[in-house]
Amino acid sequence: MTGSREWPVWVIWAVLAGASVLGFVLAEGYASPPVAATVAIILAALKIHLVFDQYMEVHWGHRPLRPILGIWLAASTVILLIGYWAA
Amino acid sequence: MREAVQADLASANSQSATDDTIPPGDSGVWVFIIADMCAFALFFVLFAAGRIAQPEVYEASRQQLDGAIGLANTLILLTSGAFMAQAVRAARKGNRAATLSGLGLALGVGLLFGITKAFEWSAKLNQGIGLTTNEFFTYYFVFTGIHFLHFVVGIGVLFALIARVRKFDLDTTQQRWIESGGAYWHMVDLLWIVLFAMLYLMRAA
Amino acid sequence: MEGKVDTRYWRFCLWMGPTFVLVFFLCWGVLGHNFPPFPPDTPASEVAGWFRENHNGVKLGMVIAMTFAPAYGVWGYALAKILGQVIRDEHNIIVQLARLGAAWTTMAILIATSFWLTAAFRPDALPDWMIQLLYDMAWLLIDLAYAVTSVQLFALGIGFLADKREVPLIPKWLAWYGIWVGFMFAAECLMPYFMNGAFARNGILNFWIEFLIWMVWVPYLTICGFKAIGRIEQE
Repeated sequence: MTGSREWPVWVIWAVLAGASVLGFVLAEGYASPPVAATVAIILAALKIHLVFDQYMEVHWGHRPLRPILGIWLAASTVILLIGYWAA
Repeated sequence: MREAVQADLASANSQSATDDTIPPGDSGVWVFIIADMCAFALFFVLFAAGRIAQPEVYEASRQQLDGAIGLANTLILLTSGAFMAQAVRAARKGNRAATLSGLGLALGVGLLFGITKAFEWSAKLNQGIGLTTNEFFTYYFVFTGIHFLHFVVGIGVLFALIARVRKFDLDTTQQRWIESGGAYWHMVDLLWIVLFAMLYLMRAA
Repeated sequence: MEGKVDTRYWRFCLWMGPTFVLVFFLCWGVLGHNFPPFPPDTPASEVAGWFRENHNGVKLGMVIAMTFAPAYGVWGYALAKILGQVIRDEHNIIVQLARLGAAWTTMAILIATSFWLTAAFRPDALPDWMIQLLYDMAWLLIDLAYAVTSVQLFALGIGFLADKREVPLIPKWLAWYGIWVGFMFAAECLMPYFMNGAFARNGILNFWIEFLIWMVWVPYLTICGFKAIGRIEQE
């Protein structure tokens, strides 16, 4: 599996920007704090996944790079979730 | 039909983007990027540990940040990143004019990040909030400060890429340079995505 | 080109790098109570008490550390020779900067270690705060002198990247790693602002990570240096 192919740049931008605005709006009080924070962290992870895949153009066939980036993203997401939920 | 599209892309992209084993850019640059991202992962651990130890301090401090500026910074970097991605794609197609305009716009939009950041920091300092106010603000200033240094280097890289594209032909070496610079610029972008969520959006119950 | 390169003594000089790291770790680090250091918020009486009790060990450690400080410069000079072959120009400014960075680092190490030695010279005659002052001064110098080592790291990194060979003498990833280390050293600028935590002189970032990434770079670059010398001799 080599991952997805190129999407148009501005489609990617719209998804990334939309996710950013959504995370912000939820955190501003349109969702309960735990939901807003958790969604914001997960949205950040999805955005970064999209950046790896589409903007950096690193596909799963690029070993060991893509797995390393994947581990980094998973670890960073878990760290933030623990930082939130264990507090 | 899908195959036809892929074949089209394959012929349009001269080098690495369609190569399933070699990532775009210089492999050494990726060492730099991974090492750097690992350093930031350590920052996230520090922040999470600090937040677990003092949740009230972190939440009270977080409320003093201006989330709208954080969002503006995110959108600025995402937009600049989109222009960068366009420049990389144009370079691979050998389109020099589009490459130059992509790089120029990535640079122009990117510079706005410096302005909003200066504005945000000075507002904090004017409120009497500084590096040693509390642990949250230590991390806030240090992490966004180190991120800002990366941003400054990225701006330098964009200037250098523009100069190179003006001077030399868009050959494969040149494409590699642009891909490498692009990967770095996107790293600056994605690190900010985490910082934005971590510093601004983790609202405590 | 103009005949074979004279590589006599290069290997010996290159050995000086790992030798320096080992000796410095044992003498400055272990004997001198610098690995890890006293946290900045340690009371002056505690630091002074430790110096008074262990002054002989500190003296021995610092004397040997100072004796071996030039080993870092010697190693750096050998690397600059290899760099001269990488870019095929001994007089290039990058080569000169790589050399200077190593020499400046040696000076910084020498001066800083002399402060720790001073603290151990007659600790019974010195007030607590003065011993603490010398200890702080040495740490502030050795950490904030990061920039001179960064000159070496950047010069070597940029120079190694300019290798036009099919297979570079020094791997490109290592060149980039060195540049990254030089960049990361800038975190030392935070050190004077913190009495505890990750950015203090004994903190996870400003002590453990910074030393670790540098201590990986020295031996690995040395190994690659040996391989490079072998190839230079065959070219």
